[in-house]
Parts: sequence; C-alpha cells; structure tokens
Amino acid sequence: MKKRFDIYTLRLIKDNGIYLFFLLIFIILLFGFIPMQINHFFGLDDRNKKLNQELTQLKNQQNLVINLKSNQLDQAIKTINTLVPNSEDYFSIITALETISSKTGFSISQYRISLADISKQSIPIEITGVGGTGSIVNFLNGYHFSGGRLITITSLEYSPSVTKLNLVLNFHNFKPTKTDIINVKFDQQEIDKFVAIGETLSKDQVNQENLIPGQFNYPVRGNPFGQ
Amino acid sequence: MLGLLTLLILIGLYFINSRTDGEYVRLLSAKEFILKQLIDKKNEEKKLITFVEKSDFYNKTVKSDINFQSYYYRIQESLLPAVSGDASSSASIVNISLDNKRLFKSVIRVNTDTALFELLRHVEDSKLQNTFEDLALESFSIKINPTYYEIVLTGIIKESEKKI
Repeated sequence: MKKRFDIYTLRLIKDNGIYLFFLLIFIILLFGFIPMQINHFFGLDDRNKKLNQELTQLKNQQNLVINLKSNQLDQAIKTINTLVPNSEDYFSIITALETISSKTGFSISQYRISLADISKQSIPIEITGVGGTGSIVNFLNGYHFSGGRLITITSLEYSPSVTKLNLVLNFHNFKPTKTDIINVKFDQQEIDKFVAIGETLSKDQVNQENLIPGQFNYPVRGNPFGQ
Repeated sequence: MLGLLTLLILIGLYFINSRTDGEYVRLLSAKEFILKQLIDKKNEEKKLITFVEKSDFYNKTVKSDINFQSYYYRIQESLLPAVSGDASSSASIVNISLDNKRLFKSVIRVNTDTALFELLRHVEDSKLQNTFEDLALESFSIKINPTYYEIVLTGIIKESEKKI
C-alpha cells in the first residue's frame, strides 16, 4: 500500500513553503557555493604565488641588468676574452710564453706539444726552462695571466740545485653557450677582478713598449741608386 | 543564526577573493613593467650571461692549477728537520715533482749519517699527518766519493687554499 502525505503535513508544507525555500537556498549555499568559493580562493592564491615567484626572478634579473656598470662589464669581457679566447689562437700562446719569459727572466729552452693530449678546451704544452732562483720565483708568481693568456700548470718538476723546471702548462679556451639569464649568479666583485687584471695587463704592455725603442729616424735615401 | 554566519562567510570570501584578484592584476602589471625594461636591456643581458659563464669557467679552471709555490714551501717546511749543528750536514731537497692532484715525489739529500738518522726520525713523526694525506719512503741510496745519502719520499699533500 502506497504511503501518502496526510493533509496535515501538506498543509504544514504549504504554510511554511517560503521558509523551506530559503532553507533549500541556505543548504545550497552552505554545501555548494561556499566550498566552490574556497576552492576558487585557493586557485587564485596558487596563481599569485607562481606569479610572485616569476616576478622575484624577473626582479633579480632586472637588478642584475639595470644596475650594471656597462663600461666595466665591457672591459671585463674584453679581458676575459683575451685570457680565455672563444677559440684557440696558437699565435697568442707563443706570444704569451715569450712575454712571460721576457718579463720574468725565466728562459724556456724547450717546448713540446703532444697532439694526442689536446682537448676541446685546453692545450697542454710541456716546457723545460732554466733561470736563477729569482726568475723561477717570478715565473711561478706570474704565470697565471701575466702573459696575456690564462695558464694553469698540471705538473711540475723542480731541481733547486740546477734551477731547472720541467712543467706541463695548459692554455684554455671556452665558448659560452648559455642564453638564459635564469639561474645566473652574478657577483660585481668578479667584474672588478677582471677589470683589475685588464688594467695590470695593459700597464705591463705599456711598460714593455717603453722598453723597446720606437724611434727609427735613421737617414734614408729616396733614390736607392742615387748618391 | 546559522544563516547570518553563512552570509558573513560569503561576504568574507567575496572580499578575500576580490583582493586576491586585485593582487594578481598588480603583479601582472609589475611583470609587464619589468619585462619592458628587460627588453630594452637585452644586449646587456646577453653580455652578462656570457661574462658570468666565462668567469665561472675561469674560476673552475684556476682551481685545477697546481699552486706549486704554496705546496713546495709546505713540503719543504714539513719534511726537512730543523737545522741542528752544522748547516752543511742538514737535509736539502734535490728534486721535487708535484701534480695538480697534489701527488708529489721528493728527493732529499743529507751529507752525514747523523743527519740521515735525524731525517728518518723526523719523517716518521706522527705530526706530519697534519700536512700529508699519505707519505711513504720509496727508496734510499748511498753515494760514495763524496759520501752523501738520498732518500725518495712520495705522497699526497693535504689541500691548502688557493692564492689566485
């Protein structure tokens, strides 16, 4: 037998219909709309957090680039490109060795390049050199960049009594490949360091040029067959 | 009462959400502003990236250097015992080789047997563990006319700070 609402209940529903309607809206708000709004809030918050992170990175990038002393950066790049060229330049290796030799008094008597040991970014050169203790000390103090190229030593043999050095020098080259500034850690001191090295190198160059007499004003004849 | 509370919650949520939305708009305009500035400085940015990458390479390369002088003085100070008595009988380094992994081989010469014993006693001293990771007596030889003794020591010296 089917159950039916009695007249009393129907009457009750009819009399309180407006309240029941509001109750229904309230229930929808409570269990539907509010959770939806809360979810919406978390979505917005998440989006803002991501944007904030992105903005922090951009601000760092802005600080790096905007506050940069452009002149100094150019100078530092010039120096670092001289010390570590993008591709190997064999003439600068010879010049660097000759420069160090003349600056320090350390005389290089023998070079040997093992082609098998040459890698993409470095060229090892075995050298033998002699000199007084002072020359050797000067050489060991100044070999890193005073020749105008970055030089590192892999191994060294020293005999104090005969003041002779056998060593393996490395010349380096490196071509930057990065294009994205994100994760680039920059330190102004690095620029200052290379600016200072550049200044030392150019001072040395001037001093060397001063040592070589630059006047060639000997008399020349216009007509080689004339008197 | 419950209805009022729900209404308050709804109003609160509305304010919070509209504030979050406003914040988003503000962040977007800040991003746009910075991006415009960065586009103008694209050339500087490129230079900076090049410089940083290259200076990182430079610093990494310099770390692979032998740093000979500093290690030489440390090896000399540690291995040669203090001169006692006649200076001519004291030990001296005849030859030394070192590589950038701090592996060394040193030939030390002494002219008298007293100095030799003093040197051997010194080399056995446990204090040398502070300077060397590894130290071994590789060979020992006696030369006659003139008489002198040579010992060959090999080992690894502990890392010291780079000077460059």
